[in-house]
Amino acid sequence: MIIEPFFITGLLTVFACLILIVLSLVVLYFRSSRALSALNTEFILYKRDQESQARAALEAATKKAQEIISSTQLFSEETKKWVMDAVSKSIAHGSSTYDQIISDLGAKSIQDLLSYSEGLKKSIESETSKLTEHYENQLKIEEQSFHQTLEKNEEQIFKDVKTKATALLSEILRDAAKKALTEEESENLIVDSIEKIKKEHGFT
Amino acid sequence: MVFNDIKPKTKRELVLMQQLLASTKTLESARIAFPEKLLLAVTQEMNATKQNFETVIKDIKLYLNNMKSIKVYIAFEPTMKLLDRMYHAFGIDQTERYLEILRDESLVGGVKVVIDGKQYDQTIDKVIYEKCI
Repeated sequence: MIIEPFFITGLLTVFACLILIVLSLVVLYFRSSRALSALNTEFILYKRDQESQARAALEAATKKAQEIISSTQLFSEETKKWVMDAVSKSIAHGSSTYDQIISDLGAKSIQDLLSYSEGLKKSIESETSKLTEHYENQLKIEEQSFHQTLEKNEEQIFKDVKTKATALLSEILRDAAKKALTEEESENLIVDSIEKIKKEHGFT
Repeated sequence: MVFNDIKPKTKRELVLMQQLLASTKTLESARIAFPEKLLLAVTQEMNATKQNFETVIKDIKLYLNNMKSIKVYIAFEPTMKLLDRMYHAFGIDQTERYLEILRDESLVGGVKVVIDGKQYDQTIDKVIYEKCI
């Protein structure tokens, strides 16, 4: 049996091709691996950079928050300290406990506000009581003054009333007289009046 | 100079007389226009003083201008009879005065009189006021 030389050549060629393919795959793998490694390194560096920036921003925000909290008048010192601690803890843990903080703060600040409003209420009550007393006194003074003025002006008031009553009565009498007098009576009245004037004053 | 016979009793009469004297220039026209009493007074005066018509008319005008009024306020327009009664009640026959009748409907009864600037009140208003006060 004679093995065909072409068969061996062909076989060798196939083996060579296979080896080439494997080699190229290996090269490809190493190259990819290197690129991946570079990317990874780059990513790690980027991440570190971002984290440091984020941390810096958080620290700045914390500092600002602490400034604001410390300057606020609404909360007690104890509450302020608690808030600052909570904010600092949330930064340290790297987790967002904002909602938790707000929730807890809500409970704590309500107590503060209640005590604040209680204090305010007492203060208002005290002021109101003072004001009421003051106005009561003022009212008494005004009342006394009014009575004094009334007594002083009583005479004038009576005089005014009398004048107005007289005017009214006069009006009624005039109307009655107008209706009651006849023509003859009016003429006689005129002549009598002239004679009376002449008698009292005498003129020529 | 006095002309008692032609003396006007009221302002209305005075004004009419003044207008008549102003519009009559001659004795002939006066004989037609003047009332009997006035014409008689003029002719008598002309004869007594021997003055002409114009001069006598001038004297009468002067006499009338010098007369003084008595202002009388009453509530209604007086009749001739009432005017006479008022004139005689004042007793000014022998004076150089005439009545100036002025209507004031606000007066209820009686009169208000003004003589030489002085006012005299004899109305019912005054009586009511005095009684009430």
